[in-house]
Amino acid sequence: MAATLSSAPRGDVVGQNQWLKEAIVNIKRNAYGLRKAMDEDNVKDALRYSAAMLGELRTSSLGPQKYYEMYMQVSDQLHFLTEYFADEHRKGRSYADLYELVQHAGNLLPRLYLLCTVGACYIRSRQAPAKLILRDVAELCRGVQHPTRGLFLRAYLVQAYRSLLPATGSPYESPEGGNVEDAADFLLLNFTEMNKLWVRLQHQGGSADQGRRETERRELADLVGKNLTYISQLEGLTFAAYQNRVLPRVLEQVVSCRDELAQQYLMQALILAFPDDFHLGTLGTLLDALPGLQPGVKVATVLSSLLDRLASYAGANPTAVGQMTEQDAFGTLAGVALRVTQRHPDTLVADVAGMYAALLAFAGTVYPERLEHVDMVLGNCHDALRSRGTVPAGKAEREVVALLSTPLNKYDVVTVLGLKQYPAVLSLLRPNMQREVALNIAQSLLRRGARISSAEHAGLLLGLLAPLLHDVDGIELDSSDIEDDSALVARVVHVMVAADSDEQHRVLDVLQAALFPAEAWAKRVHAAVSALAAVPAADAALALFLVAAAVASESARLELVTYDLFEQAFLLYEESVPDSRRQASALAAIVGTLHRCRVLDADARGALVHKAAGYCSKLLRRADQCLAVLAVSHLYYQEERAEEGAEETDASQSDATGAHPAPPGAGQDPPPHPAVRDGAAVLSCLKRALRITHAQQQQLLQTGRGELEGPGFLFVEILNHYLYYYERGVAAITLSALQNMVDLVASELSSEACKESETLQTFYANTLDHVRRQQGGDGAGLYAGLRLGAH
Amino acid sequence: MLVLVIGDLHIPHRVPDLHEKFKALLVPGKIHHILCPGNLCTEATYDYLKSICSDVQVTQGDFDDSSKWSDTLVQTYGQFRIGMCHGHQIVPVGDRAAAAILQRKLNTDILVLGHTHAFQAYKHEGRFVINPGSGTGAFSTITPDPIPSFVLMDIDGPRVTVYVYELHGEEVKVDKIEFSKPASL
Repeated sequence: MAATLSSAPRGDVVGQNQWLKEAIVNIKRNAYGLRKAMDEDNVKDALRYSAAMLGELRTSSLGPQKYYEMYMQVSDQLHFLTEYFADEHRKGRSYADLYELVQHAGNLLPRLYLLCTVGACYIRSRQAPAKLILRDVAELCRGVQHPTRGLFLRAYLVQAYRSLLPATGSPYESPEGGNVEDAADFLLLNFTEMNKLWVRLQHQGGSADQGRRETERRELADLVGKNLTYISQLEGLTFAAYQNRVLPRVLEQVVSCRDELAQQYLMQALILAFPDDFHLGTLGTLLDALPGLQPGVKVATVLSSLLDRLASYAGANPTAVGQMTEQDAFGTLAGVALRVTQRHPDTLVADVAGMYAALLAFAGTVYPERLEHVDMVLGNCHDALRSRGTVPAGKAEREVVALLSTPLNKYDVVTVLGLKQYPAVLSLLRPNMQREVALNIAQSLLRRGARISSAEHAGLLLGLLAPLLHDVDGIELDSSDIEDDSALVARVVHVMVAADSDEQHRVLDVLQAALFPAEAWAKRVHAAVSALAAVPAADAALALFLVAAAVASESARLELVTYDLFEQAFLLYEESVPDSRRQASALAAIVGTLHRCRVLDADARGALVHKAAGYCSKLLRRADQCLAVLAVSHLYYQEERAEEGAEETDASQSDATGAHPAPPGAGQDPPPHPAVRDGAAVLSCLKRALRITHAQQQQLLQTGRGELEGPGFLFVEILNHYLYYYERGVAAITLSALQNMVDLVASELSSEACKESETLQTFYANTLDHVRRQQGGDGAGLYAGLRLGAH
Repeated sequence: MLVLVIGDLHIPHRVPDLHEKFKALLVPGKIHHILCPGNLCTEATYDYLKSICSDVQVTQGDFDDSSKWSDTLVQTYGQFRIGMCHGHQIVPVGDRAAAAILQRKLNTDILVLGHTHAFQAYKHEGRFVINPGSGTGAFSTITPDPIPSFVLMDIDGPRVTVYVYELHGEEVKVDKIEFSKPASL
């Protein structure tokens, strides 16, 4: 029989596969015989075939992986045998008899499998006390000391008996059958024996195969760990039983086996298997075991698992927090963490960071008020990692970032600013990761709507955000990154709001110091502006001057300041606005703002209007010139304000603020000047627009141009302005002047070139439609004499 | 069809961000088009609008970092021709008759304007003008203490229902205005 031939060398995959194939053929053949014998109700044959089938498991030729495949085949068949035994029992054969009978099997391993199978049936029938059978089989199984064979035999044992243990409330619990402690003892004994076999597997064969064997052992770890899981699942297992019976024996076995792989796995399995309150109650014992582990064991990882469990326990269970505080769990755990890093200076950076991240999460959950704990964890982490240099990319980096993110998520940014060790840990990261964390801080700050209300906090915050403020060696950013960073920092500036103006000044000083004089910043702004040719710095500055001028005029009522601000805007307009399109747009904005400003006296305003009017003819394109002149026409015509009567209260309000010094020579706010109404100047502007359009028309006869800026459009635009002022009762626009304009446009628009443009004709039709509406409505009197012609 | 009209955000120059209450309302996947009359002011804000709806139309504001947007544009949504302009170019600022000239030129049923930071919706000679105000209630020299607001237009055949969202303190108030396209236009 193949089982007795140990021909194929181990490790030879082809050989093993061949062996497994033959073994499975044998198993199937014997399984067939077994089924047949069961059908024929031949107990002796059934046992004979079973023993032959189980004999295949006696091989030493298969690695654990292949052995497992074979084991699964066999254990499937044993399931039928169990049913057959139950049938036999119903037919009157006693289990005691069967229990005796199976012991006649010639070989030890088949005999023990059969014994286990019958024993399980025996307990299930409740004819034998569970305790006795359990003790018997567990002891007998000691007879198999071959690691692989022994491990799987005991795996079968646990599988077969796990539902038959005399746990509290189970049908097998009785004075004779035993109680939950006997159940635990059975699993503990099995655990101890399996672990010994598992450890011994490492030392089987030559030293050349060490690596492969370790891999194989890893695959078998769960077989051993399951014992711990089952113990933890035992009904009625009290904390006292865990503390006095289970934990000491488990720890004793774990420590004394002196095997790195087993210790690493089993400590984690132990922490995962048992409930959090058990760990909390035995924290001292558990932590005391850590120093006794082999030097290669990653104690930091073990401690991380424990801390994670305790933190989530405390998070879900407020009473546990009291218990943890009482026994100074944080102090104990922090002490152990510190000793781990001191005793194992070569622990991986990732593991150290992971351990401290877990400790920080624990501290944050259990003692949310105790910021000094958080700070201490950060400090210890920094001490442990300082000598290891910059944290490299990968897992270690992710752990450190997680460590830094925990306080941000747990507390607000202002609280994080109070953590003195935070910047130190941050400095351990690579520059671009520091920038990532800085982005996270800035976004978190904005998301939570927090306020930075003191210069001290502003300074600390800007320190953390340093990678967003200036160039850092080792970070390569493209222009869009720089733009995003700047926009983010600009948003952060809005939340720096102090309670009083003195402190606000100090905040602004800090801000200025951080942002502006730094050479790096200047370099960066320059780089950003050069890189982004599209950034309209002059346009933005000009627009800001106009805002300031509007405020100075309409809110503060400071004539000189208003005038000065317009001068500044004009200076920028003359020198810095880069292209004609933006010039046209900027001039429109200037005119729009100037139109609104009522603080200027006639002379000052006249000077500014004159200047603005002068700019029109300097625009590059005639169309822009024409539209600008039309806009300027409004500077000679202001509406009376509906709220003119409310001006006094406005003035007294600006008095009350008192923050703005009065301009030299101005004793009090000047009254707003009356609306400007200079109809002659308006008309002169409209005529000027017309002249420009005619000139464009002449020019275009040679060149040709886009239709939306063509003379046709300008004519209609001018006509609209005539109508605008006519409706407002500007006396200079007489009915006959308007009639001339209407006729002129009608004739221009009937030209072949203008007829081709549907857009233009629609604009014209809409304009005429407006007049007809007026003629049929409110403007009936006004427009009574106007003829719109044949159009 | 839902068209979001939101403008004059002035992020980050005048305010740190759009209010959370508004952000919560502006969820992706519901809005078909976004019209922004200008002053986003940065690419990041444009990207944010893009995250709500992929079709974002923008006109040039006086404080936009980029000068790539056009001064006016016209879009046709359903039966409506909708024109848009930021409005800082229109003199006098906020003048209805001046805006009407632009409306005639663009020949639109609805004209969207910005710049004043005050919500406004009115009918003028059979056409409709909407100013959604400032989405963030940013500082303005035209409107003191602006109220954050935006507009959602529900276009359905010849009718548009204009929903106005305003943030009063921490409370969002919604108002509704109906506009129908005149048969003659």
